[in-house]
Amino acid sequence: MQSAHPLEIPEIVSYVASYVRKRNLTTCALVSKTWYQAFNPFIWHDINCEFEGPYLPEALHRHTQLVRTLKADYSSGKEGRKKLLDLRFPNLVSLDLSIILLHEDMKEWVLDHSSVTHLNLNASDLNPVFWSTLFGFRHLKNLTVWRLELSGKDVDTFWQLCTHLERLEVFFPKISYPGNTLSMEFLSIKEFKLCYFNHKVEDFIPKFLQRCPSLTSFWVYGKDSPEFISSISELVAARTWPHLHSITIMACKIASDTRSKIIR
Amino acid sequence: MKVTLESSDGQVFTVDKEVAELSVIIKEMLVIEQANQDHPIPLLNVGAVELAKVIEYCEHHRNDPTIDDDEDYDSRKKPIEMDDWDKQFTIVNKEMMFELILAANSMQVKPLLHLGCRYAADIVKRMSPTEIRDLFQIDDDFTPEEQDKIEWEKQWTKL
Repeated sequence: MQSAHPLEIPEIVSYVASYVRKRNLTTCALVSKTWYQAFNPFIWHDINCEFEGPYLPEALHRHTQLVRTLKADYSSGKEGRKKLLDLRFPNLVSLDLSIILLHEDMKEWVLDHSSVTHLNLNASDLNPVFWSTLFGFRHLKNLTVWRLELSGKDVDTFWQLCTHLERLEVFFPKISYPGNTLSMEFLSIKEFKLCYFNHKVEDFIPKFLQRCPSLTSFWVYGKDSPEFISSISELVAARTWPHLHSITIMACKIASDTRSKIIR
Repeated sequence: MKVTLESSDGQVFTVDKEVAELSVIIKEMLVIEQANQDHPIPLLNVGAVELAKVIEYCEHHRNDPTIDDDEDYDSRKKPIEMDDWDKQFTIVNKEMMFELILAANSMQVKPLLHLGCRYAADIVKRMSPTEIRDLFQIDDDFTPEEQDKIEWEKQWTKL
């Protein structure tokens, strides 16, 4: 008896699927049941919900367990948002939410996906209540937040969350940080990215960074904040981060002595 | 230290232990049979021609770091780097490559399995489902309803 063709063995087809480009995946899924089983996890692996049509959630609901990366943009309509809120993705790893209007009814849905390790929250209208949901994400390694606004005891809870993180990106943060009480260490943070416009907001950042000894990469986009950049340069010069290999500073005015300090 | 391997058609090959250990199956066998290495390890599913090719591959990659790919979220999507030697190695006819995929699968030589599957992915990328079925002699086992359902789903994945 002749042995089976390798491309009928499920594990092998699954390896093949991992090398097929996205746009060819669905064609391959139509070959046979074995191929469909092998290709389907790759087809539904990354989902981008823009809700141009009303049917996507209907196709999606059969494959929610396969979705690992979900990007949802709520700017394009109430209907789609409602439909998404009916779905749960039990194996989700990465969640990327762009929200124009943050509704209270989303809180439960967001918390139902709090086992993700990657989270990107991009909201333009903030409900402060919503920030507290962030603290339910106990497995987070990679966090990107836009317009993070924190004050009072939420700040401490946020630091607590940061102790697990490997990568933190903050865009336009507003953190009312009460003085010198930061005593935690952020041992796992390796990458930090910051974008801001208002030079008053970043007072806490050098204090925070000082407590990230494993930092390897630092990226900042800012405007008119020589004090901030100079405090960073002093930290660099003092070898606060022995593993640092990449530092990017954009759109900042840097005084020449500060520049030479960083270069050294 | 040397290890001897025997192909399904009875040919015996002698290779360095660390070369043979690129095969997860052989590595496990060597652990079990540590005391008893007087006779060659039989590879019942691998012919001499393929085994020689597999050994050639393992010799070249003997110092590579091992890959651990099972069910890992990120690494499954990560393509394996192919060097010039690998490119030369894959210049064989399709039948040979499919035999090698089978051999790599049964011996569990993971990097070679990946290399072969990448080769297969390159072949299928511009083919229709019918062409793929014809090439690999795969039966179309979908009912028309199942076919319609997948076609319907396909338009919502935006691929």
